[in-house]
Amino acid sequence: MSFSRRAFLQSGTAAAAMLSLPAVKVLAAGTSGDPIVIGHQCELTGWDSATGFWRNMAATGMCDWLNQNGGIAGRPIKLVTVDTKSDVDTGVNQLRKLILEEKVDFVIGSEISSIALASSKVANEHKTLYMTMSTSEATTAKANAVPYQFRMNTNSAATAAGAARKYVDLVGKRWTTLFADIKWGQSERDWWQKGVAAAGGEAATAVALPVDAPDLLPFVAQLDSSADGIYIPVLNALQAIQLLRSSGYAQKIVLAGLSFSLFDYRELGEMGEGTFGIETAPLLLKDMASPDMENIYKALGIGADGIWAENGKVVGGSMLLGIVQSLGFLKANVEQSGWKTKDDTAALIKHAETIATYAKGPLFPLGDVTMRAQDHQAFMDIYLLQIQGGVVAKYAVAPKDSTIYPADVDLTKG
Amino acid sequence: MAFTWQVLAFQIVNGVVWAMFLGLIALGLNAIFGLLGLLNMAHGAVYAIGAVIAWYMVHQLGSFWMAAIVAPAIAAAVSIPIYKLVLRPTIGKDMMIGLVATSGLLFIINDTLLALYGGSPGLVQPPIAGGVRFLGIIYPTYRLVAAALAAAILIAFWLFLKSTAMGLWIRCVAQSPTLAMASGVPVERVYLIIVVLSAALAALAGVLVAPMTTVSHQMGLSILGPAFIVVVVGGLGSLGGAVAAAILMGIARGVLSIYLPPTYAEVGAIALFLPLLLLRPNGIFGARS
Amino acid sequence: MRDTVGLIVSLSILLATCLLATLIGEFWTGVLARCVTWMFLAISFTLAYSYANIPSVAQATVFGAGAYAVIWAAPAIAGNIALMLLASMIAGGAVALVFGLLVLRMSHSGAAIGTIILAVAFSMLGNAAIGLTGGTDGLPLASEAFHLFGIPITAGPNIGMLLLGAVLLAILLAGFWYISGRRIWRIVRAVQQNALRAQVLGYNAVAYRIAIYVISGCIAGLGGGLYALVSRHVAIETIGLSMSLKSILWAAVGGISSIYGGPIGVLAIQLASEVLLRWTVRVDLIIGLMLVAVALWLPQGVMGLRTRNANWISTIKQWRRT
Repeated sequence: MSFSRRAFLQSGTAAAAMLSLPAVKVLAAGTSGDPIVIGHQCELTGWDSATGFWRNMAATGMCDWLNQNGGIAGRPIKLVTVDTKSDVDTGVNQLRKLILEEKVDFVIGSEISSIALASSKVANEHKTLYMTMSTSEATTAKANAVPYQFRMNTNSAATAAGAARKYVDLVGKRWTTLFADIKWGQSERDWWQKGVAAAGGEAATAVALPVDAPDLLPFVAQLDSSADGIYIPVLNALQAIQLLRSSGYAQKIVLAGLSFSLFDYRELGEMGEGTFGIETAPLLLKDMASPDMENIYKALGIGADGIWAENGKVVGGSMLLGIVQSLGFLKANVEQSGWKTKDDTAALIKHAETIATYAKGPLFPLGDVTMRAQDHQAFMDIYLLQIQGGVVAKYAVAPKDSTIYPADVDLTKG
Repeated sequence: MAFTWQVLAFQIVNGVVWAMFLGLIALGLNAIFGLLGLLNMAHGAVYAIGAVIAWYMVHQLGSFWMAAIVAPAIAAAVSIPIYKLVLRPTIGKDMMIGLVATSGLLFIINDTLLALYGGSPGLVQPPIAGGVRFLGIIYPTYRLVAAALAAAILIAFWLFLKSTAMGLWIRCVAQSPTLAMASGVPVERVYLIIVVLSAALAALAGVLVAPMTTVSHQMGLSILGPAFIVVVVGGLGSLGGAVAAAILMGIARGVLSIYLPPTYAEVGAIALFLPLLLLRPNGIFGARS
Repeated sequence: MRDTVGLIVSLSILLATCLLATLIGEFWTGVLARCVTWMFLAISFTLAYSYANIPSVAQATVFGAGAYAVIWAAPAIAGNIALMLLASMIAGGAVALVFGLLVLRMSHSGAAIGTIILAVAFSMLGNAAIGLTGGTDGLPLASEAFHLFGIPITAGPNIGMLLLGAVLLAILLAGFWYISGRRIWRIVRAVQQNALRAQVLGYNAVAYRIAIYVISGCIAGLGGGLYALVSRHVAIETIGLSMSLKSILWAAVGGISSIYGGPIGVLAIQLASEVLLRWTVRVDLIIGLMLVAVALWLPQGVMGLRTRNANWISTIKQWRRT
């Protein structure tokens, strides 16, 4: 077997890439001054690495893109990424490392709610702005709402409030739920049932899926087959859909918010046809009619069909949008509040609380985003997607106003 | 879920079907535990390798059944150097040493799978589509075929133990390695064959189960607990015992889930084994102390 | 038999940890403070495995009981750390008592599986019982004015908590050293080595094993209590099976036959992970290789190096004599 020097070098580079952490990059075209350091607390390994992969790709790519386009307030950005290993202890430790050792100015946080909950308080103590990526509404509710935390992504309560209404209107009245029997699954179930009831639909009995249950059939078999649709907040949604279809359930299936980022929908093959999802971003460029998103897709090497050229996989669109809008928030507020150093972050937050809307633009590519100052939660249009003819296409839009639910804290009074 | 005899019958049948897979997964674990005295923490990871190979075979070559040959062959081939370099030196030592070594292998395999296969879960479409309508649900045909295959493999392994010279040697070593060695049984070769067979069967189990589960780099972790439980409850070294314990667990889960919320049913199905372990410390069919 | 060298080694490491923490900054202090809480867990496993003959794969469940006890008790006892840690020890001891009574009469492997069953069952229940545990999200430690016998202490990954943990651990290790020279410890050893023979000699083997296991539970519970104070947040994954597995690996790497090995095992694995995370995402791969290497070349763990060195030294002495 011949083994060329080029092949050897390529395999060496691949092996090094496999081993190394994402590089710390500062590309300073058209920028000057000290870099603004953004830490990224990301799930690079562990059980949540499927979504962490897309957040890492988006954060790395978007920071490069920002640096090539003037940076933030003319200053370059330095991105420092750490791996939480999808584990609370490691996640919090790595956040402390970002704050205490890397001296980051801002943090893009973890998607895992337990890590986000523990981390937001640590960030708050160290007066470091924490842009949470968790979509659990509990992480910004009641005592968990802290001044130094903002969410530029949607959450379970918002998606359920907006999407349930649309699905009841357009797809069916009677819904059953198959949920993971963990905090996230239970919370999704509750918000969905509330949303269905508010929209005049009927919530049939929900079936819990125990953690780590190897065989789903005994639980799937308990679902109410007279319901019009099945709402599925489970982590192994692929397996659930396959089993539902192969055991004769013909109901409409709706995956819980942001589930299309958990896997490549093409894995489902023909069985996936007709499956609905709830996302903050459509996948196909043609469904977005947004030149700004087209620019972002181009900059990150994503095709118009939502497939990342580098690995041939379907991009986690909602993960991408969460990162883009978080960077958009930072850019807008740093530039508008005159932020220079970390000492100015408190003033930046006060300024951010006065901005009610972020207008559609390069870093808010899909439309205006409303920021609720009381709990630092953003609201945006929610896209109901459906697998049609083998592609995830836009089915309907739940306008952002329909996703707004009452806040239970008021951080502006603090 | 309202109780009907139909529901009960379905849960029992499904419990028995799933038990065939759990029995197959537990088979190699049982053999390694029984003969080499090793708590093989990496067993589930080998099962995951089998499922990942099935995913690649289906997506790259479009052939599921090829995976049923390729995956066990790869696992068997890789298990030889691993046995010689890692497992062999830990045999006969404190249980913890084997546990540390095989946990190391588990970490290595899981992380390599993450690096190569990625964190995104995959799906393997069943090679046999469709289902048979019975007991109020369409039961996927593939499940029945795969369960029959798993049962056939378990029977074949039992026949191999009962009616071949190697099977006799294996049983001798299981009873007493020292006596077996004194009687001229090639104990070393028996150990190697058990490791190779165990790896091949775990990978085969991974292939067979792949179309019924989500293929992911960590899928071996969740199966390890139930597999260990049925091995010990069934009685170390008892093939029939592990299958019986798996059936018991499957049926208990199904029946309890009619009366209890699913999580409590799942807990009940495994907690059921605690009194059994108290009453029969050596397992249902275990005789040796 | 008192292992004075073991005690000196482990106390020196603890002392070095505390001294180092004052030099290397706030981040590492926090890492070390968390490590010290896990040292209790590793020691509790060694005690259960090597002295109560219970290969407990549910030690993290016991540790978690202590951690949750602190979370639950904190608002009720207004930040009194002594009472909170007492609650965590009682919680750990009580859970261990129940587990011990269930698995004590099982075979060795049966007990390992029995504890796996308990760990899996508690993990599932804890995940579902959100009102009680916070489930996967976990529960935060209530903000209180924490104090130890009137001295104010700030909860969190800081030097105060590191010192508190280290002092308690040092007392525990010294106490163990003292007890291990007493007659009662000989009985424990006799029971551990051959329960039947000890029974024939008139000792209640079951009572001794249960007592040791309950003590191991109190130690794990105490560690859990400290963990809750350091982390200020306890999620259900803290009590999971993989955490128990970690505790076994720490104990084994440190040396399963010596109670003084646990702290070394925790530091070796956790600090290696922490350092490796700085330049690679393939930490688990490297830790896996490290574990295989330990099993092959250091089967008695780091503490086993002493006997190996002792053998080596005696060989040299013999050689010089000849």
